[in-house]
Amino acid sequence: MQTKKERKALYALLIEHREIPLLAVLALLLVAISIRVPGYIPKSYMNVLKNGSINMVMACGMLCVLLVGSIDISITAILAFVGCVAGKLMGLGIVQATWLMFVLGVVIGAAIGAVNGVLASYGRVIAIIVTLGTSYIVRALIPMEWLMGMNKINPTDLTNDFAFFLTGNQFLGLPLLVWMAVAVTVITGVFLKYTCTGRNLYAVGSNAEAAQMRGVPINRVKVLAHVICGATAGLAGIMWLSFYNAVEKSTANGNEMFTIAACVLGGVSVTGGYGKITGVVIGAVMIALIDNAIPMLGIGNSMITEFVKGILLLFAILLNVILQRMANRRDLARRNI
Amino acid sequence: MKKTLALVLVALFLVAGVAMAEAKPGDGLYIGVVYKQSGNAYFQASVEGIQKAADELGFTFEHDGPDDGSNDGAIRIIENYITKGVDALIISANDPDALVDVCTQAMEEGIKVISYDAEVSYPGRDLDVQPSSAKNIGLTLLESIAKSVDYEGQIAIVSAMATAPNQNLWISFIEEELEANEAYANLEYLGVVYGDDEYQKSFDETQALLNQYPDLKGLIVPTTVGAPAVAKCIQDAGRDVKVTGLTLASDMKTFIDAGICDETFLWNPIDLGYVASYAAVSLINGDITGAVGDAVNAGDYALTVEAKDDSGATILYLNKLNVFNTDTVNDWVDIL
Repeated sequence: MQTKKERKALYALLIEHREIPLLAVLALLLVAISIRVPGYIPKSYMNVLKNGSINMVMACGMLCVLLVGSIDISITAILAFVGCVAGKLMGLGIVQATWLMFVLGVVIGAAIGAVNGVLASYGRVIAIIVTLGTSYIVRALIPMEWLMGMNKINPTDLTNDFAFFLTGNQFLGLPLLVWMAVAVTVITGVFLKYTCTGRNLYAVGSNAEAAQMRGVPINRVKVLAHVICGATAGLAGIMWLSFYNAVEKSTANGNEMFTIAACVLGGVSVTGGYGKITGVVIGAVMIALIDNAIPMLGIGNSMITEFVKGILLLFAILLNVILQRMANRRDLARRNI
Repeated sequence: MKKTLALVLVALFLVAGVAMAEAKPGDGLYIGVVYKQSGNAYFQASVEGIQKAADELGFTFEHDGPDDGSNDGAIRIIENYITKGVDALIISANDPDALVDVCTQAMEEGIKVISYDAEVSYPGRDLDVQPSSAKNIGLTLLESIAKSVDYEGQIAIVSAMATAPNQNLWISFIEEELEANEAYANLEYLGVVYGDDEYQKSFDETQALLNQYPDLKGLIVPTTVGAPAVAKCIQDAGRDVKVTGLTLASDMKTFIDAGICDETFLWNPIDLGYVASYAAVSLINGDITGAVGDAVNAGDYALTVEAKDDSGATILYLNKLNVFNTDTVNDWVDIL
């Protein structure tokens, strides 16, 4: 009797906290890498954190849109666009202050996100199509020879202060780049968990009709989610520019899938309504870990990076599906059906 | 012989600064230049070279490229030139095969066709002019990195895609030379990693190399997309690793100034246009036919036409790469 109860408790714990099995997978991954590459963790933890920061920031925004049952695949296009526009403005000497660059990035990103959101909610177009469209349009705007003589952004376009702002400044042993990701993550987490608006995102995603009955302005919430997502993508563009010092038309092309993957790995439901920031953090760390670790396995291994990512992704989704089924069965059993 | 003499005479006249009424080899000739896209600084530079040749040889020319970089745009421009009755076409093609038909038509009307920078497939051309043979690129990059690391220590290559044919060819020459040449005996060659011509992937791969090999001394990056990522990664890690490669000047200025790159390379579009023009004039005048062994002399260049492969296609290599270092990079940042 006792053991059955314990098993039930474990069940409940796993279903309630889906990030626990994920954490186990992450630990397993770390052990496996550490065996192959001795001393991996002390040597590489900083690089993993740094390389994962930009993806983590975008994943925070992605979490918000996924929660309302929407999706945004224009984030890396926004990243590249914002990076190019802001970089060019700095190159032309119009914007010189570092803080202004970040404000600019967030504002432009949020504006594009707003367009996405309005079309996807009030316009009733499927989000994946809307954002596919904006992603094409935004990327096509990048070689703006006709507008600002803009082609690509080189380190020479940037002020020294900005070019080393995120990597050169440290606080408690971590570069500002990482702290920025931490800040965005914490803010998103608090917003989703403790604010009324944040809770509304879950409500809209899990049952829109019920939410509407309760007086939640569905369309407005959806637009807000897209605005947040666009803003994080814009911020990511500035972070990219300050970290890598180079942006062009094809920058980060296809990486939006890694952001979505980080969310899915973290247990976020792509149909909306379920997902936690802690899971997303684990997912983002996993993606950054794979990117960082596989080249370390030795020269000639780089081709299997995507392969491993694919396997992990499928594994995570399967895990999610199994846990969901378990939860459903338990609910039914409780109601004696 | 006759041609050499003529050239020497021309050179003499130029040196003396005498505007003689004597015939220059290109007098009365009219050449149409077509490049991939209008408004592109790279091709503007090549036109500069053609202008220089025109001043020396006396021909006149027109240049144009499609606004959108499309093949039909290029075909329209070529057809226009044919109607105008040009003596030769100098073409940089967006697609090697798309222009073959219109170029063959031009050749049937007696117009000489020279492709430069980006070839028109054989038999759509009389001669292809290219900046450098694969072997020359490979050996130049190897010698450059060897010089940077004092011929000693660990080196590796960060390439583009594992399937990229150009890069693989260059790398094969580098690897051969490392085996064969005693001068490189103290270089420890680690191998090739692939950045897939993606910034972040190139960055990650470089990070892994730096982490795995604490004594790494130098990296060769034979791709313009990968080079800035590799250099930035080294700068970020604060390591003393030298980088060389095929790069744009504008991408690498910061890293050349920072001492991460002693020098990087790319071909010289000005010289490319210059030599292509000399080849065009020689072809029109019948001095050469574009056959293997034909000599083309242009300024400091004394070149010989080579066979491209077994198909009968011929090619002329300049085999000189442009060096970007602290002295020269500023001259090129706006062009390349």
